[in-house]
Amino acid sequence: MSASAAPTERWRTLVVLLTMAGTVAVSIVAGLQADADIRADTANRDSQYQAIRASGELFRQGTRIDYDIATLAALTKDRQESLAYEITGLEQEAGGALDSAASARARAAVVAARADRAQALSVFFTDPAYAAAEPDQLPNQQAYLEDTFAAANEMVEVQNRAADDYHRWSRKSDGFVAVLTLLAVALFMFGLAQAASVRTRRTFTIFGALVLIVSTARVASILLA
Amino acid sequence: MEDNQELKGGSRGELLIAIAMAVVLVATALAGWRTSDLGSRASDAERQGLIEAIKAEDLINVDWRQTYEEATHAQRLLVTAAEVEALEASGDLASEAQGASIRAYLLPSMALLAGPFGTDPTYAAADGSLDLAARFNDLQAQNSGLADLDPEAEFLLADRYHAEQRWHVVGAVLLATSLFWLGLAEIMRDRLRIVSLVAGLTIFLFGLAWLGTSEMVWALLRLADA
Repeated sequence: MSASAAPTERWRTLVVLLTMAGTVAVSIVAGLQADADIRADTANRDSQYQAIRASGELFRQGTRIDYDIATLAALTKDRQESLAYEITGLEQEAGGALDSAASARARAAVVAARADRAQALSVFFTDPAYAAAEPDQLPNQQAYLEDTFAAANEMVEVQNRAADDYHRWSRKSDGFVAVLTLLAVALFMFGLAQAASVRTRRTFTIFGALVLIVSTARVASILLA
Repeated sequence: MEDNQELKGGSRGELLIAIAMAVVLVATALAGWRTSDLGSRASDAERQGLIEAIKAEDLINVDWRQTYEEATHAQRLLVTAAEVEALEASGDLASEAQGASIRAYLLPSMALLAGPFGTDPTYAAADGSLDLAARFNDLQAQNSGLADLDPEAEFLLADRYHAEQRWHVVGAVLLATSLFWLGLAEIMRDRLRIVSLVAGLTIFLFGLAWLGTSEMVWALLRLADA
C-alpha cells in the first residue's frame, strides 16, 4: 500500500462508519417519529372524547338546573302568594269584613298546601347539602351550582390536558420529520463521498458529519423539550 | 484467466446483491403496507369509538330529558293533588265542589302526562320526592341500542393496533436499513462490499424475525381476546 493510499482508505472507513451511524440515527428517529405521531393521535382522540362527554354532561346539568330552579321558583311563588292571602285576611278582619277574611285565609291555606307539597319535591329542601340551616335563610345555591358542574369541569380539565398532550406530541412529531430530512441529506452526502475523488470526499464527509451532529443535537433538544 | 475469474466472481456478487435488494424491497413494501394497514385500523376504531360516544351521549341525554319532562308533569300533578286535598278539607262547599271537579276531570289528565311517576309507586321516594335516578335507570335498561355502544372498547382496540403498529414501524425501519446497506454493497468493492452485504443481510433477517414475532404475538393476543 502506498503512503497516499493509507489516508484514502481511512477516509473511506470513516465514511462507512458515519454512514452506519447515520442509518442507525435514521432508524431511531423514524421510530421516535412514529411513536410521537401515535401518541399525538391518541391524545387527540382522548381530547375529542372528553369534549363529547363534557358536552353531554353540560346538557344534562342544564336540564337538571331547569327542573330544580323551576321547582324552587314555583314553590317560592306559592309561598309568597299564601303570605299575601294571609295579610289580606288580616286586613279584612281588621276592617270588619269577616267573610272576606275567612275566604282569604282559606285561599292562603290552599296555596300553602301547594307550596308544602312542592317543598318536598325540591332538592333545595330535601338535600341537607343545599337546604337552609334556618327557616328564614335561603338554600345554598352556590353549593348546588358547584356540585352540579363539578363533573363537567373535571371532564373539561381532562380534555384540556389531552389537548395539550396532542399539541406537544404533534410538535415533537413535526420536529422528528425535520430531523429525518436532515439525516437524509447527511446520508446523501456520505453516498456522494463514497463515489467522489479524494479531496471532494473529505468535503462531503465533513459536511455530512456536521449535518449528522446538528441532527443529533436537534433530536436531543426535542426529547428534552 | 485470473482476471476472467475475478470478473465472474464480481458479477456473481453483484447478481446476489441485486437479488437480495429485490427481496428486501418486496419485504419492505409489504412491511410498509402492514404498518399503514394497522394505522388505518387504529384510526377506524378511534373513529368508530367517537361515533359511538356521540350516540351514547345522545341516548343518555334523551333519557334524562324524558325523565325530567315526566318529573315536571308529575310535580304539577302532586302539587295540584295537594291543592285538591286542601280544597276538600276547607269546609267551604264551593271549595269542596271545586276540589271534587279538579280531582275528577283534571288530575287524571295530568297523571297521563306524568307517565310512570303518576302511577308507579316505585318512583316515589320515602321523603315525598321523586326518584328520578330510578326512572332514568329503567329508561336506560329499556334502551336496547345503548348496550351495543361501547366507545371505550373501541379505543382499547385502537390502542392495541397502535401498539402493534409501533412494533411494525421498528421492523419496517430495520428492513429499510438493510436495504440501505445492500445499496452500499452495490457500490463498494472488495472487503467493504462483503462487510456491507453481510450487514445488510443480517439486518434484513433480524427485521424479518422481528416482524414475524410481532405478527405472531399480536395474533395470539387477538385470539386470547376472542
